Amino acid sequence: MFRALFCIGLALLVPGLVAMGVSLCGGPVEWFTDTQTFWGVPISLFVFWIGLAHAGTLISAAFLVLNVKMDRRTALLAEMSTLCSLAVAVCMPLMHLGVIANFYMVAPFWDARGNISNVRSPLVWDFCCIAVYGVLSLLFFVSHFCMNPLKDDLPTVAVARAWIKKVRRPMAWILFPLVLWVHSVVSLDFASTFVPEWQGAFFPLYFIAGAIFSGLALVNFLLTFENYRVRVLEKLTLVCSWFMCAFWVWNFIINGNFCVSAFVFAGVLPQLLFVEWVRENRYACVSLWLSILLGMLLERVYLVSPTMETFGWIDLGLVAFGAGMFLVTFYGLRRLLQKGIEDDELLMGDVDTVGEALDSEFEAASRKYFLPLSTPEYRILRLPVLCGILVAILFSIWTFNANDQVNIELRLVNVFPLFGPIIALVAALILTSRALWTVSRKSVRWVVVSLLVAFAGACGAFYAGGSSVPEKASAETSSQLLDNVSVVNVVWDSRCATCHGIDGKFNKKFVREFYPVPQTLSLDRLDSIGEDSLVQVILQGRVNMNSYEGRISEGMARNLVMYMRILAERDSARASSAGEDEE
Amino acid sequence: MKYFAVTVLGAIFAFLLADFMLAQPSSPQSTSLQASLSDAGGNATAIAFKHALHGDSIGLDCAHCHTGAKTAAHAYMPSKSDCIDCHRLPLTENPGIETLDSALSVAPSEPWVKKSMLPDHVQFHHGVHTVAGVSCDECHGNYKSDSYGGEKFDMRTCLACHRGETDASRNFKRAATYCAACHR
Amino acid sequence: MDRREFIKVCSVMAAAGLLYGCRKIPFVGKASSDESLSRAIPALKDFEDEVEKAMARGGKNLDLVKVPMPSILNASDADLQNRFGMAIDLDACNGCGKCIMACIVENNIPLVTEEEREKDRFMHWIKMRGDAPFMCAHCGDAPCEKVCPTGAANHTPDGLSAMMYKRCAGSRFCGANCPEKARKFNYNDAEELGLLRKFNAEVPVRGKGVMEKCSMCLQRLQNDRLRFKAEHPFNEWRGRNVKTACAEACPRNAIIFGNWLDPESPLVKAAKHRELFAPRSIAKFDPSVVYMRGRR
Repeated sequence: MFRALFCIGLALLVPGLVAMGVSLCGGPVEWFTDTQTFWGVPISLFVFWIGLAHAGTLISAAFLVLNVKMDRRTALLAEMSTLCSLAVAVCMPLMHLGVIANFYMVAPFWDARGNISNVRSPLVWDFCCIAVYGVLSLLFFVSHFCMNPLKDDLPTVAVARAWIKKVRRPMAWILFPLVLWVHSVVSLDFASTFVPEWQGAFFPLYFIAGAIFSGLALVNFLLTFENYRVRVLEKLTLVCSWFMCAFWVWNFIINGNFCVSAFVFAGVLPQLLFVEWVRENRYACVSLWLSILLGMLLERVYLVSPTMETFGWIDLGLVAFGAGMFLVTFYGLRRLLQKGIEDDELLMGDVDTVGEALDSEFEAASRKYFLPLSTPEYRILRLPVLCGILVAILFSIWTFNANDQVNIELRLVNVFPLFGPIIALVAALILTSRALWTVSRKSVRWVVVSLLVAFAGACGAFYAGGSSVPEKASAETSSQLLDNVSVVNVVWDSRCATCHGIDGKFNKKFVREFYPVPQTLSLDRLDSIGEDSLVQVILQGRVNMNSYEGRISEGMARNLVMYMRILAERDSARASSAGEDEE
Repeated sequence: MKYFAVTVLGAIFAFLLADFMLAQPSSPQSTSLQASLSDAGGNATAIAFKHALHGDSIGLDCAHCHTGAKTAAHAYMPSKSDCIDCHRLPLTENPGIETLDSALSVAPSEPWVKKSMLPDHVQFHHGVHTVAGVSCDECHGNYKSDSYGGEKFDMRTCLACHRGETDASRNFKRAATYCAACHR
Repeated sequence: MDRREFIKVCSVMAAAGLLYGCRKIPFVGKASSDESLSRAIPALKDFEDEVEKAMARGGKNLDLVKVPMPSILNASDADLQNRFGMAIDLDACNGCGKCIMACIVENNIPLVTEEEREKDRFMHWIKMRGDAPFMCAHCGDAPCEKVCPTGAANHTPDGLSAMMYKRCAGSRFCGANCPEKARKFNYNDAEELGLLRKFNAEVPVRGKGVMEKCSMCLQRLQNDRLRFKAEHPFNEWRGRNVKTACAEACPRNAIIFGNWLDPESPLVKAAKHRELFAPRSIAKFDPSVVYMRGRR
């Protein structure tokens, strides 16, 4: 079954990769882009897949926080689907860019030139939130495999495993708000623009509801293939569908936008779950979940580019790419982890709450009712979150300074969306990194170390910035300038002053040694020769003087003669004033 | 602990290495390639130009040959006739002068090859900088010793000065740092 | 065929597909350089034809509301002496479209392909909207600059909304956020397709995947400023010698370029006694390019 799904994924991936290649090379012209917003299918797909990516961890974290019991297998599948759809989602905005090579400029990191990304832009928030969300989902996912004690553990490793088990619930406390935060930020991409269809304060809510809805559908879809049903999830899906319908109706009343196909596929059809036969029939269930996914996809496309009427080939190819890549990575990963999911008794029958923790004290604690500020989770989280807040404050101070350098005026509101991910990242790393490190195998450690080093190298490369390649190679000579220069003293200083001196006397250093002393350009002399013949001398040359014909226009030569007079007058004035001083 | 040290040091090293590799100015090249007289076919001849002989010692400043250096956007290179203005008489007792004169006589009318390293989208005006009190050697540090290509003309260097981050003793004013001041 | 083989075949096909798709990307094999030599350069007539076609398509009429005269930019780094802008005299303009052509020639604006033309994706920085030219209004508080992730769209202290093409990643967020859609996206590599004619060496050619828009002839302002500063180091530059290409080309003098903060500027002189308007959707963003009509 899984192999069949993997093969379907591969089959979808073939046209998908062709479409991907074509659009990588052709750029945005290849797919549909809305004339009004310049955005297109990749953005819709991004929103769709990022929505799917939110559900898995959200479900698993939220259930953990709310103490709803869910078996580990469901949680694992949900989180795996999160990771895979995140991988798909990340490809989409990258491909959407016009200049893909410049993608790193979106990261809020400065380079040696002092350039920094514009932290006011929701896209920068997006970038950070999604990166952090990916890292934390990975940590959360990995912690599943590190928390159960093995027989031949060293004492330190056993302690670390116990710790990981203990911090899973605090981690869920971090992840739960982070997921909501991330998707609100994604929705701000749209809500903060001036496109009328996207505006409104309800937009983040609407987005989150849609994300959870489609994510639940995906998890249900995957579970159905595992021959599994989780009633809570099905119920939740139904509730979400009502929410979505309410939103759509609301949007229709407010903005007059309504996507019929989405309403039918994702709003009306799911209500068939009320029919028992449908609920019990696997094929019917699968098609229902698929219809929800399709409906939500259409809804996202409609949302991002309302003017779109039909899918082009490349658009379809990109959709296929998303689906194919998801199936391939998901079932590939599942195959790799099959041991953990199916064979391992420990994981299989386990319930993913801390209620069953080994630590009996902790168990007792989780049963009791606590005031919010005295729960054990709060005690664990207190310090890491404080550290996170500190880092966030430091970051904002730094960003404010860096942006001041590039004349961007920030307000706290602009940096605030980054607080959530920063605090979450710092807190989660403080909580888990050490224990995970102790638990991990040598090979894994080396992989992590080399990845970090490579990342640092990439940051360094980004910091240095590429040198700009000169686009023209020109051999410009002075004569080009002299045609244009209107300022006569430039010409004098560059052409005549070598011998005649900048001040109109002569250049002692040059002339005495190599050349006969040139004629002094005194006022009397200039007057006696007359302008016309001086011009002729300049243009034709004389004794030791070169001809400037072709290099200097006649007009310029006349200007030069005038300039000579000015210099001579200045000189005689200076001489007379010097004479007066002597007297 | 070992891993931690390896990671941190490795990361710092990788960062610095990448920064160093990419921000490295091109190494200075010998005169014979860059600023030597080219023959009629455009190939460089063996006679290298020596800035030291053409500068203060004979009372000339840059703008005598690089016409625009103090007033215009580009500094420009002199043409052959500009050289001959002075070189029409043998200028030293050094016997090598004959080789020079014969090389000059067959040189093309524009004998100096200088590639403008300024990309299309960057504006640099020599004159504005001279007027603001920046002397040639602030940027073209090695010109007197005739080694070229070692200068660091990158945005980092430009901005350090424009932001007033360079040596305070030189007393440069802070200059414009908004993008469109230099870019288009 | 068993499953294993099927997977193998599929993977090979997938890899081949990607390669096929990417065949034009440099590392797979770039188009030979001989091609670039014989690249076609369109004639002036082609550009004129395209302007005609763009004008025939027309655009939504401008929905104008009254605005006050632009004053000092509301930014911490604002220049207190200069704020450049334009006023378009709706009483004088007859919609001849000469400004569009002048803009093309000044700024090396490329042609677009047939398909783009059908989608109304002309690259012209000026668009005729109901007998009045419309270009980027260089809002003082520009919404496009706020959402640009890389900071490629930014303002200058003297009131221009500038665009740094090399910093642009092509996210098109600015385009989405401009209420009047004044920004244009380079869907194609015009140079490669032979749609570009480099009229003006002063203006760099924009690459594929980059946003562009009216720059208020930034190159003219820059050149004049640098020249002025080199020649008169102690005087304040007011940009009095500059005129944008469209203002220069307008036969009825309907486009007036100038400095809103300079009482000597032709712009201030012309606009002083007129009523000023701006498109409704951007009026609140303090536009530097306004329309004038009637007498006050």
